[in-house]
Amino acid sequence: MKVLVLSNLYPPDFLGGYELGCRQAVEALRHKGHEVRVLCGAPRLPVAAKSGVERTLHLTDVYLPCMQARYHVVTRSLNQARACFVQAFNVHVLLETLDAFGPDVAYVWNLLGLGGLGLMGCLHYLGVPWVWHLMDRVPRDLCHLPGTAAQVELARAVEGYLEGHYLACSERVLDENNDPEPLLRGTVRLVPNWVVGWRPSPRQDYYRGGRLRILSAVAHLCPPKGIDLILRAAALLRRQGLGNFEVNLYGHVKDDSYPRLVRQEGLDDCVRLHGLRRQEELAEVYRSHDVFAFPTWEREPFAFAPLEAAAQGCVPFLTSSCGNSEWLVHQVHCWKIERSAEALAEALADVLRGRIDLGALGRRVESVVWRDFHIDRALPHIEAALAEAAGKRRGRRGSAAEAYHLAVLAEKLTEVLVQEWLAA
Amino acid sequence: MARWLNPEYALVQTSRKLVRWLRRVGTRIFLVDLHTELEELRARQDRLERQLGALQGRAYDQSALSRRLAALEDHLRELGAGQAGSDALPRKG
Repeated sequence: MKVLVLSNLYPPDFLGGYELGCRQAVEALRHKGHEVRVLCGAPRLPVAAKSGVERTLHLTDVYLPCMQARYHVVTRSLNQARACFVQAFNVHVLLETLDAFGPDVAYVWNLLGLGGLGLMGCLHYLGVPWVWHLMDRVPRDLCHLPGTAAQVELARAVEGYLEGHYLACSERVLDENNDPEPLLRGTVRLVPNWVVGWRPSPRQDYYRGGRLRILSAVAHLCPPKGIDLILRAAALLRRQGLGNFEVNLYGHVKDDSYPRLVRQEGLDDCVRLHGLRRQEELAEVYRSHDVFAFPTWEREPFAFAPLEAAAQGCVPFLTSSCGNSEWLVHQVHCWKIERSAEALAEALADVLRGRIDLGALGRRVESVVWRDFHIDRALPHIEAALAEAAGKRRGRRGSAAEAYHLAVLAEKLTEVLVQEWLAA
Repeated sequence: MARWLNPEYALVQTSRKLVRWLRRVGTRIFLVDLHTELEELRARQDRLERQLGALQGRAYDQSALSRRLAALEDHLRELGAGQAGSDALPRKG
């Protein structure tokens, strides 16, 4: 099959698991003999050229809150509109790629920043079949312009051409996309996120008392991922006289707030901030830790890191109502908690007091992850969805020239409407 | 000076002051009541959200259990099919 992958970013330029997952899926498809071409946004930092990856789309970066906060409201709103709605330039690049590559199917990932609705509209207009892999609330977010109440109306308007094939990593991500009204139409398959690589020899050393090694790993250390809660839980444990633990936090540190919090709570001797590490390096790190603390926000779709840690026998302690919790069973493969520092501290205290057997949990979760969550289990579902979509090529509604003309009109109209609305 | 000498005028003034004072006290009581009610509602909302989160967590755990069971059954079927396949192969000797 000839597959055209669309994504805002592609590693080595990435924000989080969504882009890393995209690369893993691309590599797995290529390994199975499919011809895959990636079309993505220009990288935010220089990266080496790679065969089969075209970084030619214009990325409107709305992922930098510090920059967004400094923009005037008009600039901010226009940026958001470009990121979500239509960028005629990107539609033009897509049309050229479709013409040159002639894919059987488009495999869509995160389109935020590319004028995603325009790209989807273009595929729809030309009758190009697509499969959209959802690891976040992307379709819903593409219908959103902050400060306006247009979200519901816009979602209703685009619902018609968002009919296609979807792969979703959890029910939670589907529910979010379909809230407050159904947005996704068509076939939906649930495919859990995965781990890649070969299973190492089973881990032997599990926690049997002594110093408890806790870690958390995210792309960026931030409150939604529960980093504050981990630090507060560590402070609570200390106050209870349970000090025989260490906390290692891996991820990009944006500013001084976490180092300061560590100092304020007097945790300098047991908490370390290590910065961002590569996925491959983290595997070894997970193997030398006992608990992966992940009191993440409830809208977490399905994070890769706790799964990768579990594959190394490091037991995930998860928010009970996040996407990851849909796939692992409490007290069998993981430990689920209410999202609070107190609940995390209580669970960790139970480990330190010998009330939770991490060895049994670690052995079981390590085995289940390699058995049920390896990419080799997910790939047949991905291939089936791509093949099914490719077999249902829709009728073409018009020519590429007309699609581009419509995109230019839509872009201009959006700019005028946004500016008129802000001037009113 | 004349107004102090007019008892009717003084009575009206006093009653006006009294009404103003009562209004102020009333508003304060009303605000305290509103504040208390708001606090109670917020506490209740927190409790309900926690309960909802716990219920959702249990529902997710149930989903996880069903999915793991289904995956295990699939594996058993695959193993069974593999076993049957290897049994069907011609054996040496």
